[in-house]
Amino acid sequence: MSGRADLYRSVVLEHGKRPRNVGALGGATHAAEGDNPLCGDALRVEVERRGDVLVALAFAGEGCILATASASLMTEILRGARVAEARRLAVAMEAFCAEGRGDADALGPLAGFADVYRHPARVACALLPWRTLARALDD
Amino acid sequence: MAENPRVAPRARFLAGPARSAGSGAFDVDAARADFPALRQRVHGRPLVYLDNAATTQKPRAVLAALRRHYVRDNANVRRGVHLLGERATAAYEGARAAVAHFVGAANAGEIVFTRGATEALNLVAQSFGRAHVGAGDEVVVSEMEHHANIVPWQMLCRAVGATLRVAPVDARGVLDEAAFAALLGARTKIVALAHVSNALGTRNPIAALAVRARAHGAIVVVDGAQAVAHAPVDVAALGCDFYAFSGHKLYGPTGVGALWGRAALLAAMPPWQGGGEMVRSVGWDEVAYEPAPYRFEAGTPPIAAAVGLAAAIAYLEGFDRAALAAHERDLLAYAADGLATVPGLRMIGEAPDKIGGHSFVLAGVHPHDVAAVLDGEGVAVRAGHHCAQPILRRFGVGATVRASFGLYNRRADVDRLIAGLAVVRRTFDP
Repeated sequence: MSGRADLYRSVVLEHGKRPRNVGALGGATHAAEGDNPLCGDALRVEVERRGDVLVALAFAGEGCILATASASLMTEILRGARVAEARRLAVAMEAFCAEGRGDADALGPLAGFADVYRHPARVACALLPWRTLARALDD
Repeated sequence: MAENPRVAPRARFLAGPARSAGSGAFDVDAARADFPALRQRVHGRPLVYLDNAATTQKPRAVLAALRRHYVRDNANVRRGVHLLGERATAAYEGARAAVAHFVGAANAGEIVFTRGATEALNLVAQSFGRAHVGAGDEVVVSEMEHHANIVPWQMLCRAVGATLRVAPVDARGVLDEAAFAALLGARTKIVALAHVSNALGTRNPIAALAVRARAHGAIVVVDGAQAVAHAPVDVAALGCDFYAFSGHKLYGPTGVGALWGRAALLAAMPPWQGGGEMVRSVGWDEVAYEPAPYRFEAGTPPIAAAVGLAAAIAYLEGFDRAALAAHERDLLAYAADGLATVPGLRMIGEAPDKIGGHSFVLAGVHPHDVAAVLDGEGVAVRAGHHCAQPILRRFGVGATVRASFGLYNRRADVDRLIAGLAVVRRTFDP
């Protein structure tokens, strides 16, 4: 298992090294900032919401590969999603990353985080974007 | 407790007779055999433990002392008239004497047992600080302090209306002595400094800094948590007023540490926690406290851990400390050379006088990812802010990787670290 292939699956490496949707949105309607003080991860998540639909998402900040990949995948997957869907997926990711519960097949590329729950110190990294998004949608 | 006069005859012969401080070279392989925790595989590879600044592994002598205490001598201290109580009290007070000797204290009464360095620093802030620091006064710390030597002073300053002043470090991570001196004045009541920085490895010239501080009438408090395992400490030579350290960074158990304080200061300080053991008599209208150090040890103290700490000190003092220091200096230099060959690696902290380990960042890879991959390679390092966020901000980073050494580390461990960093780069190709 050289290079920690369990934690760093190809989809995580791919999005972690070349993240999508980095920066700020011109027309952001919601935004929130989140951090993991223990490791120094800090992200800002911005959302443009029209009616019930998230038409665009972006993020900026500093984070490890897990936090960055998670933010990149989240902002890709949720483009065009309804708010209720986004919230459902955020709850599903909590269970998946923190406890290893959930249907990996239903999570698509997010199944790349399947082994995070085995690394308690890294759970907060993978979930930082989702927790920050939830707070952005709340305000 | 002569468990380990660990000087290898052959190594001594090879080292020759002209070594300055005594009996010979340090035999790292023999020392490694004393630490059962080192003999394990993690993720299928032999463990390389390089997180000694966080906590050290424990030698058999310490484990045996803990077991002996619980199997044979376990009782509360300074209470029972029965035999076990007498034995436990003798062992606990013997540990106090051992700690006193270890730091060069004038007598055992100057040693207060605490849960660790953090509690020792809080004791000084809450007891001495609240009695002697008032509105408009100042407390001076350095920019490289651990949170344990920042937050207690922030709490004190907020409570009494005093001001916390911060002495800066230069780009190498060396305290700016001129700026430090300029901060000192008639209002300076306390100067609190790390002996060795846990985040940078910088060793501060405490003796010189203490002379300057005391010239202004300030009390000098030293956080020795990162120093005691690596170099002999003599509080008299340092010229400080308080010295705090933890047992578990010194090959001893967790849950025990010590505060050395000048007898005259301790004698005049009010208690900071109330309870059993620290009182002479209690009535509804009055209470009489025990003298120092007992008045600062409310409740049942960490008896077994103190006994274990004494065993750790005996273990460490069984080595030729000069030879041990030379071994650790060699490791530090060897590691610095190795790390310098890693592309994209930036050392955080390049003081000429470093102790204990190296902090660094790798371009394009978050420290947590570095540490996770190294863990997969069997190499345990720390990644994070090391409870020293202000100094990391000074260097423009939120976290670093820290590889820190214990007496049982060897060049082969450094080689594994460097090889592991190559795997990190292959994994993330930054």
